[in-house]
Amino acid sequence: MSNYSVSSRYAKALLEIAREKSIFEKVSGDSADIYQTFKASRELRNIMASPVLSSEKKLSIVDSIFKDKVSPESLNFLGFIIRKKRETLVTGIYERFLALRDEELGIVNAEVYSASELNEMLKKELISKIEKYTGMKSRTSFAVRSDLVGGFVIKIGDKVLDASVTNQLKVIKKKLIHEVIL
Amino acid sequence: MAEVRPDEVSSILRKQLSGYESAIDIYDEGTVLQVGDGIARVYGLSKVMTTELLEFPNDVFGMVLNLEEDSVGCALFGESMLIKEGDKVKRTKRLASFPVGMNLLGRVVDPLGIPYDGKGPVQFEKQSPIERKALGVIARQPVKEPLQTGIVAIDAMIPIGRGQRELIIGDRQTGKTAVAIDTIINQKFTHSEDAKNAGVTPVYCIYVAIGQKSSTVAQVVAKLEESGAMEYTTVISAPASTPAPLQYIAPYSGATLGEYFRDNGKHALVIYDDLSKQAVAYRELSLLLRRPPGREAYPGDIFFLHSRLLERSSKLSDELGGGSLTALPIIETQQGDVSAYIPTNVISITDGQIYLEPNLFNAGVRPAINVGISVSRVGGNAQIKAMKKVAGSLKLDLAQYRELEAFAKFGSDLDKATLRTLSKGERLVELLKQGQFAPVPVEKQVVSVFAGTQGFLETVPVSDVKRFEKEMHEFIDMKYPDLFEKIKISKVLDDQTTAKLKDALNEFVTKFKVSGN
Repeated sequence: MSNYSVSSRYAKALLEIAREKSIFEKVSGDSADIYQTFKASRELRNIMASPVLSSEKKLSIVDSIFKDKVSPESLNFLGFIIRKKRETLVTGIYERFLALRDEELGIVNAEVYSASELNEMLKKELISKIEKYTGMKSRTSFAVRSDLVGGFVIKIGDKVLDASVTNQLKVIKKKLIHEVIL
Repeated sequence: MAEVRPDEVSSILRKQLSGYESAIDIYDEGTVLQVGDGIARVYGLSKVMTTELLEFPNDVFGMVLNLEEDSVGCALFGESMLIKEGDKVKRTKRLASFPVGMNLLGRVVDPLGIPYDGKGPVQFEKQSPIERKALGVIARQPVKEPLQTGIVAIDAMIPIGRGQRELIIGDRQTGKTAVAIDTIINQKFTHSEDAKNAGVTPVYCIYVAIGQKSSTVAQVVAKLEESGAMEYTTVISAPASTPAPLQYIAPYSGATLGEYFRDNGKHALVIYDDLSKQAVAYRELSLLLRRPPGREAYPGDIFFLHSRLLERSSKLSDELGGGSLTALPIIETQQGDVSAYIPTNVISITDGQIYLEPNLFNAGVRPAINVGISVSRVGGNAQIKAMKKVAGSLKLDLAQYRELEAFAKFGSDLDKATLRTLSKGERLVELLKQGQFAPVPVEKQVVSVFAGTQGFLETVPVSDVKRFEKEMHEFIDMKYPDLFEKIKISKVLDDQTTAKLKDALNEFVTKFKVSGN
């Protein structure tokens, strides 16, 4: 059984509960926190994956970490995952939850890589261009990649908009090999 | 070599690159999750199509076969060693396709159309997807024109029509490929002026070699070249050394090229040599893709694999140009076991089979066709009338002979009628023997079969039958050439011609000298 489909099912359930009880904002904020915590702490992930520890022990660990930080509903859900012995999938479940949430809210995640640091004005312009292109709100992160030589690359999900010099050189190379010599 | 001037080079470069604009390149990208055994699992690429080509690093291409919830399973057409986990994969938005066009004739290419023969790039008309849905009922019409194989036993008793699918089945070393190659060579006639006058349209040939030794393929190509058959033939080769995915798609590439000829109102013949190896390649691929194994570990859709391929051969209706695509799939059996999985599947799909037997082969009956269990379900309509008339009793005579053959072995007293059947049978078997790469034109076949069934061989010793046949053809060619011409053009054997033929044969029989006397 694919982990992906299991994670999706749990994530969907959480989304529906949150919507039913109209605590959508809160749960999504909590989920992002829990996801970040799990992602950041390898120890925590190892503990969760350990078959030696009992569910009760794991529950109490989770309890003590998140008790004052997240809503009782979120904590309850985390406990539910552990009781169902799906604790190894926690990161996957929250990842899917956040993705489903973004989909629902019409947000796309975009990554912009540029050869050199962009100034604020350019960044703003890029964000507005991305939002215009996708027709959705965007959560854009910026990073510098010097191997691009010049230009920039925007990644939105699977889609790549490549305006880097490296790629242009690659295209020229291909053209020269396949169309001139042959 | 002519001198290369640097300024020329730069002007060529400039010209080539003038169309190049530094527009933004938009593509879909995924990541390799897992790679090995010629299979890659790719994360991302949520909009990818099945059988779409993917571009991996190092110029390796792959074809999407599995679409799963969170990943796509992909068969690689190149070395999986060149790809590692985390590599970026690009969509090409192109389905796996094969270049088609008249320029493919005379070439040896791989299943993606990349030339093997060192004759430079293939100039093609367009790329066609290798997987196409077979035509429906409305687009077709019954098979009605003959596809002459040049092999007397086949053309007389198991006739093949244009648009038919006739299986060639037998153990290893029984001459399956030889039958196919002879058929290709015999199509040379259809490209001649003579054929045009006789109303015979050209047949273009495609030979698909799957999982064979490269040396065997080279031999076949050399033989075809030697006989001048390469001019109208394309060889698609996926030898044993190529990855399983290429072996799996090779027959579909062949069918795609065949369909190009067919859809342009031409006639094509495609030979799949052999489909058992393709099934094995597909099994390998399926198991690696973790599809559940079934009987003999073949996946559940192994029947569909062959049926969708063979269903593509057809005879088009006149509105669509009346082109045809004939398929001669080859299946290799193990120890004559036709009830194994793949042979039974393909037998049930095709319109008949030519069964080759090692016993006959070793007994010197070559081509080693077992006419008892070989059948052609539609070809009879496609036989020329003259052949139909003379071959009618041939199958019956041989069947009677086989029935009595067992008795004859006891050497007991036999009555006259039995002896006559036996001696006639022996001579007919001898008459149907034929050398390799020596196809016989249909008019000569008609005369041979006529001589055999009408009892003109009765006085000829069995050992002299082949010589009798040869000299008879020479005699008629010299003295009554109009007989051959008549049969070839009118394609019928009317009473007048029959009488004339009988006279000619009577005259020849009296002149024929039995050897040793």
